[in-house]
Amino acid sequence: MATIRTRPPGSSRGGRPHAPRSAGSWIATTLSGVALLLLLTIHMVANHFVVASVGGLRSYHQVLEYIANPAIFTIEAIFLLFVTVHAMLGLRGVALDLDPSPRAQRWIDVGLITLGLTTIGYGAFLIGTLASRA
Amino acid sequence: MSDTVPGADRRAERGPVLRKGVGIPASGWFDPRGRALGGFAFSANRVTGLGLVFYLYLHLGVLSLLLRGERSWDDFIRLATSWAFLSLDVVLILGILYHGLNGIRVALVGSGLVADRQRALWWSLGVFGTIALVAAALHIYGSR
Amino acid sequence: MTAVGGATGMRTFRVYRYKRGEPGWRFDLFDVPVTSRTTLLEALRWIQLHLDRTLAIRHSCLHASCGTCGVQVNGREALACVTGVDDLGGTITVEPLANIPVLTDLVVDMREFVERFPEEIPSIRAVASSPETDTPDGIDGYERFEDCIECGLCLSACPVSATSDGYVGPAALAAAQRLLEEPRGTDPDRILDWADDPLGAWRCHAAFECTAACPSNVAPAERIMALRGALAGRRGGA
Repeated sequence: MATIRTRPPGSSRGGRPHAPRSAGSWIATTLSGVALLLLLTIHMVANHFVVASVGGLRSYHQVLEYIANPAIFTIEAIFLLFVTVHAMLGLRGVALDLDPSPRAQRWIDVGLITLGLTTIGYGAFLIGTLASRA
Repeated sequence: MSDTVPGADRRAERGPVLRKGVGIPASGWFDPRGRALGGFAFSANRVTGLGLVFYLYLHLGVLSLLLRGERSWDDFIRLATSWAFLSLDVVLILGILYHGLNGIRVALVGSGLVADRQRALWWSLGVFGTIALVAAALHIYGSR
Repeated sequence: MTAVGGATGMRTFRVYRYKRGEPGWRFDLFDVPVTSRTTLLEALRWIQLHLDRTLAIRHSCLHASCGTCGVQVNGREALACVTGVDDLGGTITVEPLANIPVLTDLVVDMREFVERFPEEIPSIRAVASSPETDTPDGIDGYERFEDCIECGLCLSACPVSATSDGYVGPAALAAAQRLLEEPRGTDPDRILDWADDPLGAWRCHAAFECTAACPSNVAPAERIMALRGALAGRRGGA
């Protein structure tokens, strides 16, 4: 049975200030994960189970033809966005378990945002260039 | 008579803290000793997640070969259709299936839904995932 | 030497030892005669009485209702008073609880466990309600009866607590959710505000190790998930 504490007040959680809420991270990770269930399934099926070749892999011209389709281009672009967001949020969760200081946490956040934007930027450049070659 | 109890000066010291793992705090996640199903499930989720992040950048790197033209891509395809590479594809699908299906479990349980059924959820999604993996592996190996 | 309950075999106990003032910690080996009904606490008491009177252990009720005899045995959390040694193997490793500083030998400093509870919400641990609590007509006050015996096994088993001493831990979060279910005069928003923190409910990774370790049917992980559901719902409705 619980007992009444006799510790003097004013020293909760080692004096840490109340940190900003992170419900948003959880919700964003969950929603991006749900979106990926559909987007990744489409991506994997289209790239491994449609073309009649070894492993379902597409040749060079088949890739260009595939990505030039406006619907496919849109789906793959959205997929790139969601997978990058989910990946960066996941890496952030792993980094949090290293118990960084608040200052280190800010650098981690900046680093992951930078990495995420770079990934999305390069991926968009890649599919845009390939689509233009078809 | 001394008014100081022997050793009293050491009482304020914080004693050692046992942690699971191999000395690095984060390694406690991956220490299998004393873990129940939920702990294993999360460790595997972490491992597959990190593996998939690695694969994301590997994949972007491989796709960059397309920018070099048809010959570069075709050279890669020759490599990618080998038994070893196809096996890596099967491992990739294993990772995706585990992370995705366990992710469904984490999303449901972590939102307060069916938290008391988390073990049953893991096993039932595991059965589904195993069937899907076998089907995918048969298709991939059968295509060679 | 008299064995515990009539000897049927010997077991080797590998026990964690730490004394302030001595350099570091070590494991001591003790051979103890046991029977099929010997509990871990009985074996440790036998070691104290017959082999090493300096071994420090904590216990009280002898029937899993006080929560003071929590230890790790072979890497898993358990209450020593109700853990039989018969199926623990030939060599049994006994260590203090993890993630809480050791005072000496198998005794940990439970102040650091208690300090994770929100002091700004006294009703979360109080046995009885304060005189100022608003109660319905005909009710003089409330007394708290619940399953949690504050043994600390959940905190020891929690993999997140292994990585961060700032995380409030399963016991405190489960207590918050229980108070949310039956506020009894406490403002629910205060409870949710306390739990809505990166080191609160959102730090839990749903490993369910706390529920697996709990000897008292508290199901802390399920309660933390319910708390997160309440927080997500509050955010969605805001």
